[in-house]
Amino acid sequence: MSKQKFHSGQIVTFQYGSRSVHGVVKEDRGPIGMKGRVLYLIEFRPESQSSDISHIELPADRLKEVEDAVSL
Amino acid sequence: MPSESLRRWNDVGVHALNEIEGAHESVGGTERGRRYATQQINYAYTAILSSQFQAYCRDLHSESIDYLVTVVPIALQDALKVEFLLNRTLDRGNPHPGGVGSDFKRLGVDFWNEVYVLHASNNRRRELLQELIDWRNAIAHQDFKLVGGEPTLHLTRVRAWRSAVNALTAFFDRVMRDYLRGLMGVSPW
Repeated sequence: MSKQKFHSGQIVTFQYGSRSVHGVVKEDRGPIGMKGRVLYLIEFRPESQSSDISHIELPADRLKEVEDAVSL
Repeated sequence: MPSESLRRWNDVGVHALNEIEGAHESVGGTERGRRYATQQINYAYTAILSSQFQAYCRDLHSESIDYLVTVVPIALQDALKVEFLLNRTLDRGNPHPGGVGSDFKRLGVDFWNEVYVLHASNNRRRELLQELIDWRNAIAHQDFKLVGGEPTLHLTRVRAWRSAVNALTAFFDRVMRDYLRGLMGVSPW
């Protein structure tokens, strides 16, 4: 289980289907995931050209921190 | 073994509610002043009870999703998670019985009917939950028409709501555990 922690407002990337997408951490949901893993609520755009926003709750080991991110 | 969500309710949620019970007991002053202060505390107690119960339901819904998606192929799991969170009532509004039922029903469980099966008093507990939410809304909007026009709220009533929702947390936990065990073949918690 990943020990990395993320904080609200942090920009991350994760694999969504066949693509890598950017998202923003909206909330640390605590250890409510399967077998006590910490979940993070992530806001992201499933389609890069779309204005539609989606949300997903993912564990830390699915997320990668984006260094020096400016915007989505 | 309870879910992590129920453990949090029994720890963080109950602690917050006990603190406000303590505040109630520590109010002093003249009879009139005390009556005003305890009334405000009863209002705060109602709002906190509603918000803590909402947090519990939202946590249990998320925890259930994290297990539920494991029964479909990995390629579909994320899309399913997004779908289950889309317009979730528990992210936006109060934990009113209709919203709680519809959010969990989207996971495939006939939620309230399963809750009723577990105990004959759960129907009454649902009514008490609705009363709690009506009062929470009346307090938030300072409009007591919703609750019959009388703004006086007694501690015994708030305690009855607390007792009802506290019992519901354990029954909700059992409903989701049994439902997920039926799908997964093993108990999720």
